[in-house]
Amino acid sequence: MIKVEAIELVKRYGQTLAVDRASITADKGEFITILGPSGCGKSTTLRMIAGLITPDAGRIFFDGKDVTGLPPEKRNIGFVFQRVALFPHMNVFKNVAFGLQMRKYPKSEIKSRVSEVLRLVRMEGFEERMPSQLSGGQAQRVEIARVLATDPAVLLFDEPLSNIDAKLRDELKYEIRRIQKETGKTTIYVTHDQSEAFAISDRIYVMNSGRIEQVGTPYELYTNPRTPFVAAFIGSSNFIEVRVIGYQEESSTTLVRAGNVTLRVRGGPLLSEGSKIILLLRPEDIYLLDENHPAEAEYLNVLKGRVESVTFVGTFVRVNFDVDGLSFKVDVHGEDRFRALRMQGKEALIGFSRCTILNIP
Amino acid sequence: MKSLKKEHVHTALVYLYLIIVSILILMPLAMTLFRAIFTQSEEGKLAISIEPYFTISEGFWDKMQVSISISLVTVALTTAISLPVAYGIVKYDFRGKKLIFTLLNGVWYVPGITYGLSLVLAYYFVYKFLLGFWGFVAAYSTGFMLLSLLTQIVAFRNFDPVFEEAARCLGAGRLQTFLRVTLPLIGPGITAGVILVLVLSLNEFITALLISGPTRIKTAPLQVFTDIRHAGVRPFVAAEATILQLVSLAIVIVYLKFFGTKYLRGSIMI
Repeated sequence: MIKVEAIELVKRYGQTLAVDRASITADKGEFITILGPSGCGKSTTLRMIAGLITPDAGRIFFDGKDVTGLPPEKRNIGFVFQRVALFPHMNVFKNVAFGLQMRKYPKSEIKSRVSEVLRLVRMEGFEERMPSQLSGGQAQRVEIARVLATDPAVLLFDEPLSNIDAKLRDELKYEIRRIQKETGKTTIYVTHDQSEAFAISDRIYVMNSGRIEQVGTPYELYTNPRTPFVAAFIGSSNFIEVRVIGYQEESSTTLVRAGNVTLRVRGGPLLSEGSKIILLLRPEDIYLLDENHPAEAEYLNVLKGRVESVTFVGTFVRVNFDVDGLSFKVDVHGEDRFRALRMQGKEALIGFSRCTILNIP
Repeated sequence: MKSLKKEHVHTALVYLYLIIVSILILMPLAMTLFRAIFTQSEEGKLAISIEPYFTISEGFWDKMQVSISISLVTVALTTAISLPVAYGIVKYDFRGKKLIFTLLNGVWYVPGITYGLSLVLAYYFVYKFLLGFWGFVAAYSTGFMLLSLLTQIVAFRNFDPVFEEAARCLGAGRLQTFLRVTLPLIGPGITAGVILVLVLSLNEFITALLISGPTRIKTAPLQVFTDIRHAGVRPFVAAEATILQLVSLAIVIVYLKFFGTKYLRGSIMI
C-alpha cells in the first residue's frame, strides 16, 4: 500500500495540450477515479503515472520517492488495459505467471501464487484455457489476476469495462471494488462512465480538456458541482440563466428572475443586484405536483405551466415542462410516473426548493 | 429447383476454373518429372526408370550442399539484421523515415538482372575481399534483405503494442518483452520472410550466374543451367531439376515442422 502523487503533469502532442498541469493524489489504500469525457486526457494521465508515457513537465511520487524517470517495469504497478491484453500465445496459467517469472520467483511459489489470485477473481480451473477461449468478462478477470499476482504497489485501471456488455459491466465493477477492498491496494481507475465511478470510488477527479475541474467524493460532486461542466457531466441538469433582483433577509433567500418567471433561491446574500448567475436544478429535485393536493407550502418555488412531452424511461418518467417560455426537465419517480404519463399537453404545477448557484456567467 | 441447378453449375464452373489454374501452375513441374523418369526405348516405347537420378553430373550433390549452406546462412543473416531494422522503422519516428522507406521499396522494382549486375560491380570494387562462400552469402543477404525486411515490417505493423505495454507493466525489460512477447506474436510475419528467403536463395539463378565468377563458387541451380547448355534437356538434367525442387520442399517442411507451429506462429494463427 503506497501513496501516489502526480504533481502538475503536462503532456503535449504537437500543438495539442493533452494534459494541462493535472495534479492527482491517491492516499494509501484509497480508490480514486479520474472521470471525464473521451479525449479529456484521463488515460494519458494514467499512462504517465504508469510510466508508459513520459510527461513533458511535472513529477510523480510513489510514497514520496520520485519515479518520474523510471520505466514501467521498475515502478511495481499493476495496469489493467481497456482492451484485453492477455498474451494470446500463452494459456491462463502462463499469463498469470508471467510477472512472477520476470521477478524470478521459484516455480513452486509461482504455482501457489497463480492459484491464489485465480481463486480471488473466481477463475480457478481455467489455468489451461487459451485467451481466445475466454469470454470478455473472464478475460478481464484473468487480466486482474495477472496484475494482482505480482503484488503491485498500486493498481491502475484504464477503462477496463468499456468493451464489456452492460450487465457484466455492472457485475464486474463491484467485483473490482471487492478485490480492491480485500487487497487494500491503492487504486487509480479511469472511466468516462459516471455511474461506474460513483459506484466504486472513494474520491473522484473530474477532468475536462486536460485539466482537473473538481475533486470530491461522489456525494460532494453530485450535490455541489463547482463548474457548469461538472454539473452537466455528472447527472442530468437544468441550467437556468437568471438575474439577481434582491435578497430577503427574513427567509435568507435570493430573488432571481429568468424572463417573466421569478424564483427564490436559498442563500446568496453576497450576490449583487442585477448580476447574472446560473442556477442548477436536478430533474429529480423538481416535483410534478398533484393537482388535487399540490402541497404548495412544502416548496420554495411553485410554478404553473404546461406538460410539453412525457417520455417513459422505465425507472422514471422524464417530463418536459414549460413555464412561460422557460423549460424544465422533471424526473417523476415511483407511483407518480403513471399519473405523469397521462398529463401530456395539460396544465400543471411543479415545485422545487433545492437548487445550486453556479458561477457567474 | 431451377436455382439449385444454377448453383450446381456455378460450383462446377468454380471447380473447373481452379483445376485449370492448378494445371497451369503444376504442369511445368510435372513435365520436368515426366522427363526425368520416363525414358523412351529404341522401339519408341515409354518406360519408367530412375536411372537418370544415378547419372546426374558429378559434384551435383556437393553443389547442392553448398547451395543449402549458403541459403541457411543467408536466411539467418537477413533475419537477424532486418529484424531490429523493421522494429525501428515501425516503432520509432525519425527524420527521413519516409525517404528511407521509399528508397528501399524502390529496390523492389529493379529487374533481377540489373540488381545482379549491380552486385557484381559492388563485389568487384567494394567487397573484393569477400570471395568464395561468404561472398555469395554477402551478395544473397544484400539481395534478399529487403524481402525479409518488408515481411517483418508488415508483421510489426499488425502487432498490437498493448501486449508490449502489458509485459513492461508486469516487470519485463525491453529485451525480455521482445523475446517473450513480441517475437512469438509476430511469428507469422517472420515465418513468411524466412520461407521466402530460404526458397528463393536456394533456387536463385541470375545473381548466382553473375557473381559465380568473382566468388569462384558454383551452386546447384547454376550446375543445372550449365548442364542444360552443354547437354540439352536430357533426363539426367531433368532429374537434377526435380532434386532441386524436392530439396526446397523438404527444407520448407522441416522448417515448418520445427518453427512453424507454436513458437513462431503464435497461437493466433493456429
